[in-house]
Amino acid sequence: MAETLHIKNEISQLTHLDEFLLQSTGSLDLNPGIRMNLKLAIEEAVVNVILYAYPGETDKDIFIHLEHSEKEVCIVITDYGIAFDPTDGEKPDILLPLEKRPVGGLGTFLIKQLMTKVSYCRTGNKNVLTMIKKIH
Amino acid sequence: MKITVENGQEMIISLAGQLDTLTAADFEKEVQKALLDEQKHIVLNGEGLTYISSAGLRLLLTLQKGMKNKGGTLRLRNIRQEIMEIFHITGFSSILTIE
Repeated sequence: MAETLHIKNEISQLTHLDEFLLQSTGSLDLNPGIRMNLKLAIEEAVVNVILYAYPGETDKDIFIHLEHSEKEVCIVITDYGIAFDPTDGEKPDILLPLEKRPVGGLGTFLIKQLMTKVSYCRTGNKNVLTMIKKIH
Repeated sequence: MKITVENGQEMIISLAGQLDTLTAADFEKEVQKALLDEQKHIVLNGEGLTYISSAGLRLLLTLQKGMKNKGGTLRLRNIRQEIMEIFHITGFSSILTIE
């Protein structure tokens, strides 16, 4: 089972994620926690692409490909923007007290925490982010 | 997402639905209003909140910091298990007051 969603680099396009996730994983019996984790990983990754991959440019492509077996869900996000490796960020210090906690910087951290395996590669002019989540 | 604000002895903000990058803008307005308000005690009711992304977490942290700076309190109530998981992963469970 595999589906691909093609969106443009605009925040308003995020409205398509729910329906896409429902359509592409509808046959799986996913608990609400896992469903939320999948959406969260996709949203965080796609928002990064929308905000940073194509500075100053509009109408640019982002592809979200999802396929699954009974055991795992694999999501591949592809864009043609500037090279960016979301797996290469600094880990936030989650033990800092309130006064010292910076606001922001949690998106890519959440992806890495919630997914079973995350990998990135730059192929030609493409950013390819692959996220795998074991579901059973 | 639906946001309901009740003003009484404490301000109760109830969130229902998904707090994501798109809906964060609506919640941000309420956060800014609440921080400018004289009210010192805010309860955030998360009974209907089914999803939160980093955009929502950012606003909760802004609200928590702002309330503390003005000598007030923020308490979160009725947080669902899947949202609590995100709070634990990000360390928010130790910087927010969750009842």
